[in-house]
Formats: sequence, C-alpha cells, structure tokens
Amino acid sequence: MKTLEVVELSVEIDQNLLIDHASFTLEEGTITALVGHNGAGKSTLLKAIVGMLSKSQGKIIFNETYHQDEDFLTCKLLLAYLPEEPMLLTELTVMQHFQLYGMSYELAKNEMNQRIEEMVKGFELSDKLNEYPESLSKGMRQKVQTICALLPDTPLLLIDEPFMGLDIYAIDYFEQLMKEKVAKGTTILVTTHQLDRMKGMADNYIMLQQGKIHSQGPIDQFVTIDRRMDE
Amino acid sequence: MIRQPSLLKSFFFIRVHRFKKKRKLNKQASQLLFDKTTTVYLVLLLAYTFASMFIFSDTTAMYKDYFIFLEQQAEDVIWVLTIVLPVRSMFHAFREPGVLYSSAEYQLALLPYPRGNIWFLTLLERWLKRLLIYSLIAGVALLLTPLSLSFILTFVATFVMFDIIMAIPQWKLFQQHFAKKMMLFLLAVVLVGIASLLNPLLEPKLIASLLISCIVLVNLFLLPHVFSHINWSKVTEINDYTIWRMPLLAFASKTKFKRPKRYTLFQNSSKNKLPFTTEGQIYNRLWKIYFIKQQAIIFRALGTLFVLIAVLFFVPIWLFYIGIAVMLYVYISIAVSFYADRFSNDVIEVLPWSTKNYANYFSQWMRLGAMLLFIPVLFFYFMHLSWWTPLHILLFWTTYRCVKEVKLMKMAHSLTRKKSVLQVEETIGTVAMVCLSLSGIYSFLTISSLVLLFLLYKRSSKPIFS
Repeated sequence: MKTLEVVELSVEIDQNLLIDHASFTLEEGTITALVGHNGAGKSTLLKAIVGMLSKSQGKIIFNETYHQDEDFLTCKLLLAYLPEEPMLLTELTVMQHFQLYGMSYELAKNEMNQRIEEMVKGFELSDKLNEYPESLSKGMRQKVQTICALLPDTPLLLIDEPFMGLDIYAIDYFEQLMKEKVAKGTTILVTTHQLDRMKGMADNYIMLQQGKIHSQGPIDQFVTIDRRMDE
Repeated sequence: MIRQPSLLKSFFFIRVHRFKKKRKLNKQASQLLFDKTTTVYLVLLLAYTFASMFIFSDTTAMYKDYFIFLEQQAEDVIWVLTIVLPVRSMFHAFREPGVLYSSAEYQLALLPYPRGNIWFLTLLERWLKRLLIYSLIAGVALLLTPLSLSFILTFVATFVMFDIIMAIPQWKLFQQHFAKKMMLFLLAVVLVGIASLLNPLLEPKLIASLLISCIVLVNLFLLPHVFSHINWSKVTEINDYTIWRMPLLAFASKTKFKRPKRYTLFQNSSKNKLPFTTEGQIYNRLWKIYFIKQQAIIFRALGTLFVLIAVLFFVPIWLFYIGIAVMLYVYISIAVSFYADRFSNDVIEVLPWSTKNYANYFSQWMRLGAMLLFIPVLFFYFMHLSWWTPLHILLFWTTYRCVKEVKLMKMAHSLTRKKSVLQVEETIGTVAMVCLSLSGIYSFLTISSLVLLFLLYKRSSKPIFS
C-alpha cells in the first residue's frame, strides 16, 4: 500500500518557487532518504506534507484514501513529525511534553506510559522527566523531541535530520527504534546529510536539487549529492 | 612579553558595524515606506510649520509668563526631580538593567578582554549618549524659550548626575527576584513619602543632599559586588531585544519585535512541574501559555472594549443597546481569531488537534472575558431597572452563546479545511444580534431570549460541535 503519494506538489513563498512539481510515492514499511544540498527544499517538502506550509499546487494523499485538502485532521493523525530544531515549550516539563503528544494522538494511558518508560530509559533521560527544556543540553532536548515523535504509532514518520546533536549511543538506539517502527509497517521519510549511515538503513532515496526532484530510486543506485549549482 | 590587544578598537569595531547594519535596515525600511517626493514635501511642510510657529509668529512670547514662573520655581522643581529620578531608575530596573551589555559584549568578554572594562565602556557610552540628548534638548530650549542658561544647565546636571549615581543600583536591582525588587521599590516610595512630609520642616537642599549621599554610599557598598550574582542570560536577552527593536523596520515589515522569553512565570512554581493528571489540565495549560504570550494584545482589546462601554454610558439609552451588541460581536470575533491563531503557534502546529476539545476549554476562558465586559453592562441594566431587566440579561447571554458557538464552529471547520454549512445557526445568531441591538427601543424583543434559550437547550442534546 502507498502510505504517501505526492503528486505534482509545488510550494511557493513570496513568489519564490521552493518546491517545483515534486511527485513521488512511499510504500508501506520502507525508509526513504530525502537528500540534497543545503537549501534544496528538503525541510520545506516535509513541512508541506505536515501542513505547516500551504501548497500552491498538487496533491498529498495518505494511505491511498485521505487527501490533505479534504481530510486535513485525519492526515495529521496519520503522521508524526520530528523537526530539525526541537519545538519544545518553555512552559512544559519533559514529561508534560510526552503527555501532550499522547493526548494529541489519543494514546491509551497505559500504553503511553509503557512507551515513555522504555524510550526514556533507552535515551538515558530517566532523571530529567520533571525538568524544563532550558535545563537540558541541546542533545537532550533533541532526545525529548525524538521520543515525542516516536510515541504514537503513525503510518508515516517524517524525520528532519535525525542524528543532529545526538551522541553515538543515542544514535544507535534511535536507529534500533526506527527499524522496529519499520518492521511494524511504519513508513519513514528522512532528510539527512549523514549519507553513509542512511545507506545502511534506507530502501530508497529521493534527491532534491533547487526544489526539483533530480532523481529517485533504490538506495543502491544512489551515488552522491549533486552540488547546489550545476557546473 | 605578550602584547595586549586593544579593547577600544574591538569595542568600536562592533559599534561601527552595529550602526552600519541598523542604518542599512532602516534605509531599506524607509525606502519601502516613503517615496522621495513625498519626503521632500513633508520636510518642507514641517519646516514651514516650525518657522511659522517660532520665527514668523511670536509663539514663545505667548508662554513667556509661564517660563518665568517655571524659573522662579526652579528650586522646587529640582527638589521634585531629586526624589523622582531615583524612583524612576528603580522602576526601570523591573524591565531593564540600565547597562546595554548585549550578547555582543558578552562574546567580546570571551576574547582576551577584561569583562569589567567592557561593562564600563558600555556604561560610559550610555552616559555620553544621554549627555548628547540632554545637550540637544537644552540647546533647543535655550534657542526657543526665554529660560536662562544657568537654569537649563542645572537641569542637565541633575539628570546626568542621577544617570551616573543610579547606574549601579539599577544594575544590581535588576538582578534581584521580583518580590525583593518590589519590596525595595515600595521601600523607596515610602522613603520618598517621608522626605516629602519633611519638606516643610527641613531645607529641600538638605534633604536632597542627604538623599544623594545615601545613593553614593549604596554605590560604594555595591561597587565591589558589581559582577557577583549576575544573571547574564537575562541581561543579554533584554539588551539584545532593546538594541534590535527597530520600530520603523517593524512597521515596514509588518512584524512585531518580541522579547524572547526563556524564563516564564510557570517555572516559578514546583506544582507546575508535576505531570498532568487529566486531559483538562493539558488543555488549560496550553491556553494559559498562549494567553500569557498574547497578553499585550488581549489587554489592549479588552481595554478598548471597556472604553467603548464607558463611552456608551453618555449616549442615548437606545444607542447603548446597539453599542453592547456591537461590543459583544467584536469581542466574540477577536476571541475566535485567538482560537484560530493557537493552532499556528509553537509545537501545536505540528500536532493533530481535537478542535472540539480545544474549543470547549477555550469557551471557559472566553466566558471569563465576557463576564468582565458584562459587569458595566449589568451596572447599566440596574441603573435602568424595569420588569424587562431579567429578560435583557437573558438576551445578552443567549445571544453571546448563539453567536459564539456558530463562530467557533465556523472557525474550526476552516482550520480543518472542511466546508461549513451552518446557515440555520448563522441566521439564529444574526436574529439574536438584531434583537439585542433593538431591545433598547422595543423591549418586547427581549422575549426572543426565551426562544434562544429553548434552542440552546435543544442543541445541548445535539451539539453543533460534534
């Protein structure tokens, strides 16, 4: 089943075409690496799929059924998003953030607590549950945001630069969690600059260049990222 | 021997580039806002106005007596300044440290320069800027008014002196906890009160000298501790905001410069750190967080509506009812726009929403605002007490409920990108508004409140927010 289908998607901000007629599909239980130079439009593409940015053209279809334009809330429930920079609220503690995510994705309390316990242990945050984001290091904040995004079992998981700021133990644990998610049928679209690491994990790749899809296919066909400007 | 780098050179390097960047941004903003022809005409118009007021006509002569009176009272005015200026600095300490030590200076201190010298240079720069401003004002006053040079110089000297002697107390006071700051401020106000009472008994000069001596002593006491227990993060945060808050740019780009708040009221309470026990707590906290961030706009909106109601007390009675209908409609519209805005703020933007639950908890807060606005309305109803009064009150609230529900529902549909078909509800809301507006002329229209109440009761079994 196609978890996500993007058809002729264009995103325009202040008359600048950031995404230019992008089309691709993501199959269930696969990992796709979204690669490209800085400013190629990777994060913009993810934000458009989340609904944070309005599209100027095209269609975004989830689970072959739900169109973003018609079933916006259902589409939001079908995806979880891990942003590049943590979007934590100054006013909520670590635990309260998990509870907010649990409530928003309507997770059962017991199930949520069990997942929190497991991941908090795995990311070594057990002693930080009642802390505010300011008292955490950048890496720890990233871990908190990662747990938030991994708490719900959504069909689609969008990850923007997953390993930024994480230590090697956290990266290994995160990789393990991603593999577990994929085994359960979750589809992952991940932007990264750590190509070697992703080559071992991803099934497919999509390469963006200045907002356009330059090439896409199985990861073993991927060679390297093109430069920002064609020479 | 290791050669020490020049602090002055680095300090001015930052200043020059800060100035250049600000000038460039302001230039871009002004190019966006004004065209050259309009600007030339505007300058000519202002020059003409100025010339006609002060050169061709005898405006200053008109106020000559006033200026002479002011000069005669100079001693008293200076005395008032002596007690007002320290309190003013203490009041400013609630918001700003008084020394523009920003993140640029903080980073400069990470290089091989002494922090104390950087801090002092920043302070010196502030004093010089102030002196320049005072000199300009004094120059204009000297040119355009009959005030004497000695009088103006006394004023300038007083301002400069208090800028200097209050710098360290303000800096240290800014670092204190709010409660301690408030206590010291109130203490200062009480002392000023006592000094004012002593005024007829003692020579004002003596009291002023005592006060200045006390401040100098405080300075001597604080000087060795000027860099101990300093919250540098808080200092640089507010100073970055002060330096880069550019009104012209904000106006041109239609953006608002907001002070980034890394520390909030919530973090002062250990109760707030406990995990949530109910969903309601989460929703209420999310709304509180949002309202605190939007407090300035909320206060302004409520304040404007209060002013509107206050004005309505002075118009004919029938107009009052139209006014409260307008006020109610405006209030609901503003509130609903806040409801919508919540979903494009912070982490909530990326989460799935239960628009119904958010609306239910938001309604409770909305009711609170409506109750506040209802207090003066209730006061009016009782001023014009009649048999219809209970129905007037009922009409106010039923109209509020009907219009609020339909507007919230419409907004929720728009947020979820659903097409909304709420013609019946919208018609009921409009009719309710018309009845409320005209109920001052035709009191029998208040009977409609009973129909609205019945409809709301019927709807409670089948809510439109489902």
